[in-house]
Parts: sequence; structure tokens; C-alpha cells
Amino acid sequence: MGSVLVTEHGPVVHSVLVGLAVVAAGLVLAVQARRAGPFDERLLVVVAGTLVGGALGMRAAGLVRYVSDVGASTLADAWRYGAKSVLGGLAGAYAGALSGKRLAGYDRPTGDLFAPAVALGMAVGRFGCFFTEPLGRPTGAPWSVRGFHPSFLYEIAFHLLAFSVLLRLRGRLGTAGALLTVYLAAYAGFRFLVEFTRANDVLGLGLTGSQWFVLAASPLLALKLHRTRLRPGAVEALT
Amino acid sequence: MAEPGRDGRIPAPSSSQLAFGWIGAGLLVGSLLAAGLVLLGVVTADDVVAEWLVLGIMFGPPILGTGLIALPGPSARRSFGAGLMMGWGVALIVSSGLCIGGAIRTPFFKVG
Repeated sequence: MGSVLVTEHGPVVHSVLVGLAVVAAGLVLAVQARRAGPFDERLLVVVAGTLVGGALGMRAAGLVRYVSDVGASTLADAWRYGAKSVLGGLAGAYAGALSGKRLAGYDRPTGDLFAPAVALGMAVGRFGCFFTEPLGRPTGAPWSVRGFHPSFLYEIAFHLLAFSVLLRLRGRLGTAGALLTVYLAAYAGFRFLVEFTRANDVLGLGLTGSQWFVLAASPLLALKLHRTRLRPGAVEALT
Repeated sequence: MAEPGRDGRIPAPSSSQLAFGWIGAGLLVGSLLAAGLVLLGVVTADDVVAEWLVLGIMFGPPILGTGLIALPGPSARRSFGAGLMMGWGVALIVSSGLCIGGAIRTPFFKVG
């Protein structure tokens, strides 16, 4: 397992950086919402649903993994020591946003508002992972950190690139709200590949739990992506 | 969906649905509630109490917040519910790293 860069105050460092990630995402979301037109207060209920779904989703995935690993664990132990999953958090946030929209009676697409915010938040939050979690699998590559793949730096680069691309694609997709679909599909593909450099356990057939999660979600993402239409000039905007 | 006005922009909803002061109060209560329950869950030695605390942490604020938003009533109540859910969600997401210190000493340490 790869080396952890910060051990003594690791949990605090991780939490501070995740806190910064939430702030960064919130600011981007506010700017996006302001840019989209008059502020609709019901969007706050959607945000509340997203946060609740994300918080539960990241824990739920860990609870499942913990219980399946340990068997007779208590709920409290699973809460204290269970894993937290970014993929579970994203899935939960998606479901939470849908629930929030239903609760608030908000029927406008929100994917275009959320996508850049999530991308930047993930980029910032992954610095917390880089400093406090196992770096990755051993490698002799010249860019290795302490002899391990800096897998979280790969992911930070992906999210920053995605943030830039998403900003350029704003308003250029024919399907309203499709920015989030594009982002999630791209992240799913990237995550599947980057897992080969991560220090996560193999679950079966040489693939980690995250890779199995991505495989399970890919048909839905592919379907949503298939329904996404590009407006003229969308591809040119990226060059 | 509302029709665009003369300037081409979609007008804001006619009635103000949320009160920002109450959202702030909900944020504060939600985050303090989550933080307090997380701390209690970490320090308590009683397993039964810990189990109930975890259940309380996981489902209490979201259910309460959802109920406050969904039920018809004054905007202050709905605003407080939205703030409660936001504060609770943010606190739990941010505090996820605080468990690493304990988890890293177990064979189940995985964050990702």
C-alpha cells in the first residue's frame, strides 16, 4: 500500500481541504445560478437534497463494504471506521438532487449548474486525499511519489481539465442539463482506468469495487449520453 | 415554467418562498447537531447508545428537514428545514476525514 504523506494531523488536513472543496463548489454553483437568470429560491432546497444525498451516499457505500468485509460489525463501528466513497457520494447526491427538486416543485434541469461546481469541488477535495491517504500502487515511473503512483494527482488533473471543458461547453449542448451527464460519463471512464494505479483492494476478476461500481452504472450513463445532443460549434469551442 | 418578460429574461417566482435568516439558523443547528452527534458517537463507550446515536445522525436531521419543507406552513419553517438539511449534509461531508485517524488503524481503511 502506498505511503501517506501527512499522518499526524491527517484527519484535520483532510477535513479542512474537503471543507474548502465544499466552499469552492458552492461559489461556482452560486455564480452559475446567477448567470442563468433570476435566482429561484427553490434551488436551495435542491442543494439541500444534494448535500443530504451526498452525505448519506458516501457513508452508505462504506457501510455496505464494511459489513461485507467484517460480517458481524455493529452499525456504530461501521460509522466510525467504514470507508467513505466518492462514487457513492456522487450517486447519492444525484438521487438527493432529484428528491430535492420533487420536494421543492422545481422542474428545470440543474445538471448544467451543478457539473462545473462538482468538478472544481472534486479537484480541491482530492488534495485532502492526496495528503492523507495511500498514494497508489508501486511504480518506477519518474513522476512517482515515494515510489508510488500519485493517483490522486492524476484525478486532480482530470477534474481541473473537466472544469475548464465544462465551462467552455456551457450553453453548447442541445439537451438542457446534459453537462452533468457528460462530466459523470467522462469521470466514470477515467475512474475505471485510474483505479489500476490506486491502492484499493481487488474485489474480483482483477477489478476493484470502484471499477465494478462504474461498470454497473455505465449502461445508465451510456443511455443518458446517447440522448445528449450537441449544438453547432460545441466541438470547436474546445479547441 | 414562467414566460419570459419583455427583457427576455424569465421572471423570479412571484412569492418569496424562503427566509434567509431562518436558513442560516437551520444551517447552524444542522451543522452543530451533526458535529455533536459525531463527537458523542466517537467518545461513547456504550454500544447501545452508540447505535442509537448513529441512527440519529443518519436519519434524524434529513427526515426532520424534509418534513419541515414538505408540510404546508410558514416560510420560516420551510427555510429552517432547508438550512437544517444543508448544515447537516455539509458537516457530515466535511467531517468524513475525521474518521481517518481511527480507521487507519483498522484493516478496513479505505477512502475513495
